[in-house]
Amino acid sequence: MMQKLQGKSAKELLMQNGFFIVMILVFVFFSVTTNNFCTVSNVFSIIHSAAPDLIYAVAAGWIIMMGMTDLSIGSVMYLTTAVFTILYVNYKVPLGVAFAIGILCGLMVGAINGLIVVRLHVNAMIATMGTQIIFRGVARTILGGLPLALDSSVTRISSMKFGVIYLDSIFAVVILILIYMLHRKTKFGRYVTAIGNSDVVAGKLGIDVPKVVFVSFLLSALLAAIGGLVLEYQVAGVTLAFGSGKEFTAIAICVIGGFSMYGGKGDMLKGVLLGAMTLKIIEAGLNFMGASPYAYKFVQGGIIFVAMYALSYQEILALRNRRLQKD
Amino acid sequence: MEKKIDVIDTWIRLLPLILLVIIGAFIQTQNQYFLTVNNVASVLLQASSLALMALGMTIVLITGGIDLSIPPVMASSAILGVMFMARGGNPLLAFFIMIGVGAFCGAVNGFAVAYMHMIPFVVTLSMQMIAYGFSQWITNASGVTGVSEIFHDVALFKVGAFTVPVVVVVVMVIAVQLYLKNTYLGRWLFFVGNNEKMASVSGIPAQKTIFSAYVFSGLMAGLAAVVLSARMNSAASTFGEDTVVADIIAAAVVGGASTNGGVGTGYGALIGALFITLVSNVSNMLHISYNSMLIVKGGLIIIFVILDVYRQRRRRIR
Amino acid sequence: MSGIALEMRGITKNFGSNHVLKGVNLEAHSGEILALIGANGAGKSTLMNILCGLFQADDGQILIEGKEVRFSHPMDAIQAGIAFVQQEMTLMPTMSIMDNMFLNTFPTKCGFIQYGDIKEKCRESLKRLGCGYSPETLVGSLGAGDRQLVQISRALLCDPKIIIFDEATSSLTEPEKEKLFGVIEQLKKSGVCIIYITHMMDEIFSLCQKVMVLRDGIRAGHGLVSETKHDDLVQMMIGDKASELNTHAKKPGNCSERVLMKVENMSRYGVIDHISFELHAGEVVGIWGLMGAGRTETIRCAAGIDPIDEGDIYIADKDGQLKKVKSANVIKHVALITEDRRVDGLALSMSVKENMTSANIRNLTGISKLFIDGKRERQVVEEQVKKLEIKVADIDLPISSLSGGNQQKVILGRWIQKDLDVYIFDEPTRGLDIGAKADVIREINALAAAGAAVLVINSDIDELISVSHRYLVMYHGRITKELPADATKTELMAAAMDLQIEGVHI
Repeated sequence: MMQKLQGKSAKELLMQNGFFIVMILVFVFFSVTTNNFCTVSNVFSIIHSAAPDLIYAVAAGWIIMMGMTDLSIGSVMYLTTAVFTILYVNYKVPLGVAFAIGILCGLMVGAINGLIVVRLHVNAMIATMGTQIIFRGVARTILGGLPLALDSSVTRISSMKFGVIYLDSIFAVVILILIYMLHRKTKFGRYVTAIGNSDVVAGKLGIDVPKVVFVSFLLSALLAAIGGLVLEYQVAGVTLAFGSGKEFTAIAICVIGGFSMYGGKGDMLKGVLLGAMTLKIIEAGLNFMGASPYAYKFVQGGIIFVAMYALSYQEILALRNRRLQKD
Repeated sequence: MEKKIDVIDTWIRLLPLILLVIIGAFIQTQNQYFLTVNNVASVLLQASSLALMALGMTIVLITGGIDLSIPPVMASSAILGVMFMARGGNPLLAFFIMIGVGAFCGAVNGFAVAYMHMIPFVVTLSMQMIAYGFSQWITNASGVTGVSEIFHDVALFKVGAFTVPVVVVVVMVIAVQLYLKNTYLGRWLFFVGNNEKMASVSGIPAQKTIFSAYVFSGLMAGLAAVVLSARMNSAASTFGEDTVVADIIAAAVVGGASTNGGVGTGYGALIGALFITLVSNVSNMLHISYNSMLIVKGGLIIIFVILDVYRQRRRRIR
Repeated sequence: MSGIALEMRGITKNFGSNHVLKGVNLEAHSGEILALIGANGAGKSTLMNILCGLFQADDGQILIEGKEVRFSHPMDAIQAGIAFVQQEMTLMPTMSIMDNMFLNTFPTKCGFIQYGDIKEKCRESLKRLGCGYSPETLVGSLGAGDRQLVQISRALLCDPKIIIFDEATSSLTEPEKEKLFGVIEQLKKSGVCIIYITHMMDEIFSLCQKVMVLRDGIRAGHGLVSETKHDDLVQMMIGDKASELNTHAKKPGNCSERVLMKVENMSRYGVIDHISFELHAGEVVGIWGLMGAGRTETIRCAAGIDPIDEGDIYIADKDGQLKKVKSANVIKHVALITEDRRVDGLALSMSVKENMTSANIRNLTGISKLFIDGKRERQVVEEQVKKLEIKVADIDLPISSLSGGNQQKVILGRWIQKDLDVYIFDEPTRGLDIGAKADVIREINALAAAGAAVLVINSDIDELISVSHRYLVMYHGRITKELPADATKTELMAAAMDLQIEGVHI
């Protein structure tokens, strides 16, 4: 009995950490096949470039935790940075104020998402798909369809280092830890997981489901807004396609990180880190190998497909096991 | 009392058609040549690939799923077909390559959704990434040319005033409409989308039915690839941009398909596609920016989905 | 003897014209376990739902320790010290044990949950229930028994004076049950008043001190367990014998020996166990058993809706030869009328016509074998509407506009048009008014009279007796007994509880 249990848990361990192992293998593969991949500076620059991904991926993760989807993340990133940049660059608004207004605009999108989902009972995916398109249009209108650069005196902070570690990597990890705490240690976070398990049962137990969902969309927008700003600092400006498709990258990160799209399952710290790093290592590695930059997206899609396939296979097996166990 | 409720329902159902008439009338006031046979034919040609893809999306929506991969799959099959022709391949074979690639991608989606019980959104999302990445990769994100003369000529052959794609769209719309309303397989789609459990209890092969919907959607993507590559005389990964999927979904929901499954028509997809195309034309005419167009399209999706939710909730209360 | 913890006086509850409780009295004492028993639909659940504030009684009083109380919300009842351990699971599988226990009562400090505290509390209460799991274990990884224990410890959090257990053991294995009984004993010793709803006779005698029997919304009997015999309880549950005699005077039986369907050693692991039976032409077979005995699961497997792990299903072809049929194909040869119309019986936003032909639409095609013959479809539907006297203004109206009885008839019509040999009914009359019930029963009899084999689940024992020619009695996922047409209610009830009753003669 004991042995059987141990055997099972070893297999489970392998299943649960499948992508961690994949990530290590990929890393080793690139280290062996290319020069200079496995250097300290390269590793930290990979982590550096992953910083914005970590932040907007956790935005998606928070909504996925409730068993819903937020497709407006890319547009929130775009809107926030567009508003911020135009205020700061063209209207010479003080930096802090420009930040605040930019983030407020992002929050507004979150509020609209929340209201459509909670009050009008529209499926979250379709609602946020609509707002995604609308606010991309709004942001482009604000920018007048032109890219806008940020002065390097401002963006310098993004390339600042603390020892070998980039400052924005630290910032991103701090945010992840805060969100992790919010998810694991507060009522709000627990309610979100409960809703992901079953919104009906959660309601029966006295949880104010609409309120939690609404606040979650606000939080998701806030994180996306911050993620957008961090990304802008890295690329030193905002382009027409800024943030486009980032919601899909975010979902990819969460799926690889072990989030269940049905909700209720996922780790805001480890999962997001794992997902983001896996994708970034592959991206950097392909880059190092001199592969076409477009190959990356192809590989990314393939990885999600495999991750999803593995997850659903796992779930089917778990269901069967539970039934057998009962016997 | 009951009559009154039905009136509201009918109005909501007729809304897309009414909007289409209004927008058509508006264009006519701005441009008296709008309602000429030639112009209508060119608008129809312009709308044809969108209409085909909206048809595929409608079928998938009816089963309660969604297919985000249609545009990049379309782009990939167009690229493969054109590349084949550019290397001197047989145009007929190129046609089958395009259709085949579409159907294959659809089959992969369908298998994952129907038999592996994976979530349609994520399955087709990853297919979207794969196909989009593939199309960019092999073309280096630029266009490919080399559509053979015959392919181009046959695909754009004029039947009276109308080109072949328009005829194909009309035929497909009629076929889909007949399929949905008058064949048992079409009826099965509605049962599966309405209540999959009930479908199984009635002995309907739910999995096969769902699978077939995705294959059909892939086929439509392939057909759209034929039309678009002939029209553009080239193929490019930009065929499959993010905004195209928004157009398709907008066309489908404006045409009355429900994102909750179980509702949708063939002609609705055509009306929706025409509407979206006309909205684009109007914005060109009035020099409304592409940016504002995005706002309008997003707004359309949300408004029509809210109307659909409203309609269904009332139905349930009744 | 300890004091009265709970008293309910003259509790009455009607759902529309359905009188569920007709002035029920109940007394329960601290430090005592009161068994509450009754056949399905006797009103146990309603009574308990009133006690914990989910429903409000139309009439009557509730007194807790002598003081009258009124509950308008479940929270009120919890504050008054009443805890309800429900049969259905209200746990979140992907969350830890302690999260589940404290989900609606998290203690916080500066916004953070005091995990240090609740972990201790959780560990303690788990230990008290003899459960060694760490509070951080995910509920999803626990077996049914341990989940039940988590539900119990959640109920125990607010130090209740009264605890209600509703069929607490129905999903538990033998050792899990033993563990639970230990816990209940312990609670009893600490002076808690326990109301224990059950179907299991042995549990009443081994665990409870007092027993109360509900029947058709009245208290049919109560007393000390030590002064009560099995037979008395069964008798109380089913009522007087006089009414039994005339119920099975009838039955238009023309059963033949021809086997139309045969199920052999059918198992679905953890659900049903080696089920075998045969259905003959012209016969109505009733499946009888108590809640959770596996009746619905059996017919769902037999009809091929749920996959089976073992066993074979044979169905007679047109020549009367039994042919083995793959599980997935069985539904093409049998008619299944499911338990809950709304869940898997109807496509609610589709029309009456479409719902009626859903199983047969493939055969209602024209020459092309693909296009539906609209005229024929209409004709078939109208024929059934007429035959079954379905009240519907227009067959193109959505099915949701019909009453429950008419909806059920539409489902019936769906299968009758296929002219099948085997019909399977799961609670065909549930939730219908008396007229519709009679119509459905008549149809069942008519089907059998026309030579079909019919399998029926019906929790209303009188209705079941009025149609069945033979009974299969289930207990714990197995068919434990087969009874003939003239079996009495007493025998059926005893068999369902897996009892051998002496002194009851046929």
